[in-house]
Amino acid sequence: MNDLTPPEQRIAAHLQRASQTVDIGDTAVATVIRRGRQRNERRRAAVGVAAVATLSGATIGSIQLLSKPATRKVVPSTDSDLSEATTPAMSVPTTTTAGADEGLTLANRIESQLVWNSVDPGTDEALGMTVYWNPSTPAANPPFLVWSSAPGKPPVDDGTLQPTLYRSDDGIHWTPTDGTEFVEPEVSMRGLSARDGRLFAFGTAAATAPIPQGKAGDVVVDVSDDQGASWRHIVLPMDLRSLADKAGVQSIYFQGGMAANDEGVVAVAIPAIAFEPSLDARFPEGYVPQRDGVAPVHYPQCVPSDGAVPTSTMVGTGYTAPVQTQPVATAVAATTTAVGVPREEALNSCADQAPTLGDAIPWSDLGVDPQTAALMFRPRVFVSTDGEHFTEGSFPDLPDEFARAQLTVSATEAGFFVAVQNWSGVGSPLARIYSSADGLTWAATDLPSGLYDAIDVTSDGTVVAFNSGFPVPVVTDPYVAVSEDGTTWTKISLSSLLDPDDGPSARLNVYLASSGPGGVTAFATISNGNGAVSKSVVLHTADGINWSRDDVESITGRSGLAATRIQVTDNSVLVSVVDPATRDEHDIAQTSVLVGTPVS
Amino acid sequence: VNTEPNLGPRRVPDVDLAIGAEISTPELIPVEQTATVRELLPFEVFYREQRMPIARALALTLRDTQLAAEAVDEAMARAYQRWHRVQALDNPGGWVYRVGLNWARSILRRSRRRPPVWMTSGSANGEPDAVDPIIDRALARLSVEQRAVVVCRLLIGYSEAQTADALGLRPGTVKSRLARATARLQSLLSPLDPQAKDEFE
Repeated sequence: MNDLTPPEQRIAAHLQRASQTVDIGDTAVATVIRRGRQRNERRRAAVGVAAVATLSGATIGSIQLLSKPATRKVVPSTDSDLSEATTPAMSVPTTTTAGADEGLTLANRIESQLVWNSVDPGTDEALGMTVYWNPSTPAANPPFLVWSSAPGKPPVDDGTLQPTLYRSDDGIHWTPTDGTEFVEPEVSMRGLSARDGRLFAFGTAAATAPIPQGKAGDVVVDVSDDQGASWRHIVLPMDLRSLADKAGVQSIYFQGGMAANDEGVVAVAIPAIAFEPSLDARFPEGYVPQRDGVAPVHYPQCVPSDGAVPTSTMVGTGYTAPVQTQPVATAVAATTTAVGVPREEALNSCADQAPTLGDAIPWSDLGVDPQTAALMFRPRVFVSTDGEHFTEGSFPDLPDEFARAQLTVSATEAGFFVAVQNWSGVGSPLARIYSSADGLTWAATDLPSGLYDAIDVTSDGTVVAFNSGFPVPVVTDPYVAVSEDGTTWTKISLSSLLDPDDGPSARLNVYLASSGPGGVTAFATISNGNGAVSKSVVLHTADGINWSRDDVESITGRSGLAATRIQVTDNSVLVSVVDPATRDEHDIAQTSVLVGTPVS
Repeated sequence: VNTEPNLGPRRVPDVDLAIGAEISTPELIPVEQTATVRELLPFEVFYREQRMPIARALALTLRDTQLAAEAVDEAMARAYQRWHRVQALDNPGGWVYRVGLNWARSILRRSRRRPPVWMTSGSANGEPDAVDPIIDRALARLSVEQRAVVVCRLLIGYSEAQTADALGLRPGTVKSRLARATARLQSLLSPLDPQAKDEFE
């Protein structure tokens, strides 16, 4: 790689270092050869789906085979040795210290009030591993539900997973349901909820007709009154099928989720549209979809070209924008700058200049029906109080800034909530929470600008948003933004949850969190200054200000565990974790459940 | 340039990955054209030498270690399936990387599967072996196409021509994507290179 520029060499060094820490795990060459031979045999014999079963062990998903006997152990809280200096128990922090970034208040660390059980599921204590990203907050009350890949259900030939629904009443004993209706692709992946003994799933399905190749199906709420053994479709009036046939539309799917509380069930969906030709091809430098059109992203360029610097260059199949020019910076020559900086470095010296958005190119100029494009900004909400009949509520249109935003739906005793976040790379990242008491009318509350890893609302309506502190424009301490009224926000640094033996440059990275009646629980890793992760911890708070920390290794006796799901009830905290180092004969990582209960 | 919502560890570009290309197999050069000029390579040797670097490259590209592991195995199986032709390519590893990348993107698109949170948070395949979260999140700011170019050029060490061949791009596209990605990464990784800024002042 001798032809690399110095900046490229530095990045290459970082990538090399990072990649060396990635342990992919070994697969015997014989396994791959056998797989290749099976592919050949299958192709020759034209055997269909049945043949794929032989491949299941090594293909898709994080399938957990539930073969190990159940084990439990109870360990005391790991915070018993906290130094007094770092644990002013239950005192409300009011000062900003030198250890925290300006404007951040240090979290108050308290001793853990949880006793933990670590459960390794066996055949009768079964939790299949969640394989679908589910933008709904898990239910706070039993039964607990989770989609999983499952033993004996290999992916079909195109790699589509066949999910199985697992349920549990206590978070420890998990049983698969027999929902064979869920073998179709794209079915009901977007939400799971339960209310009054009735189970709900939300997604798309071939409810009214087969799904044409590359096209869309029906938006459905699936309802089960027999604990998942059988399901019936309730088709919502959201016509993705015709939308998929619109000019300029390549494919359709939707974002959204479902949540239930005592008031009812709410399903929120917003179409996501992929255009043909793709916008990626038309705007290789980047773009931001807006209601009126597509705004191209412009990056500053410092390299001269024949006396002028192109500030906008768009190539592709559908649209070529006029190239604008600006005067050449005299300090930059063709191969070196006037001060001798190679042109590649001169280019990179522009990296700290923020990109800008150009004027939006109208959808019609791109061959897309504007009314179709506008649907990407129009969430649809459907509400049911009886679990049978759904009524459409009124959800505000999303502003341009939330194009293709991610929606997370949750419900607590305080109401229904939809968290929306977006960052196009231009300007500041935005986050907003829509709230509703009945699901029919919604009001918006903006969060402080930032990139949030998780946004939760507690049962009393307090918003707790985790911010990774990732650079915009610089790295800060990770913090949580807490607000009881949506107006006044307190930013609380989590750096006080670090221990001295975590290392002088340790950093906390929260990446999964969930709330419930018992508070907010988060799973975090602690990395050193080089980014290597040293340990995992579970953080818990009842009020967003006082936090406890439990080290996962102390609970389980194992290191390297990673969380997949957190559920918080009024009297327990469930954290499902996987152990990449413990695998079955099919190379599937072991899943365990950490169950935390209050100290009696 | 990643125009998708960049929302931290769990939020990987959705359309970017969801609308990936169908599983495609790069066009193979007939073995008769090239096999005579090179010694044939046993698949087992190729596998032993190439699996891990390709898998790691896919892990950084996809930001999903387990999916990368699945992808490299799938691509290796496909390579074995037609090894007599793949081995004759100038860059069999590039072929495997591309097949694995296309396969993984197709899986993501079809299943709507998001990279598991523990894979994208910097703790790739078990915390002790995790990808540096700063690097991971910096890579998340790039499109998957840019990541592929960056990984091929700067991690695997392919030349521009090899990268172009592996990814089915024109060399000029490789160059421009790398320049933009490098500019972006340099900014995002500046906390790791406190001395770098001084070099330009």
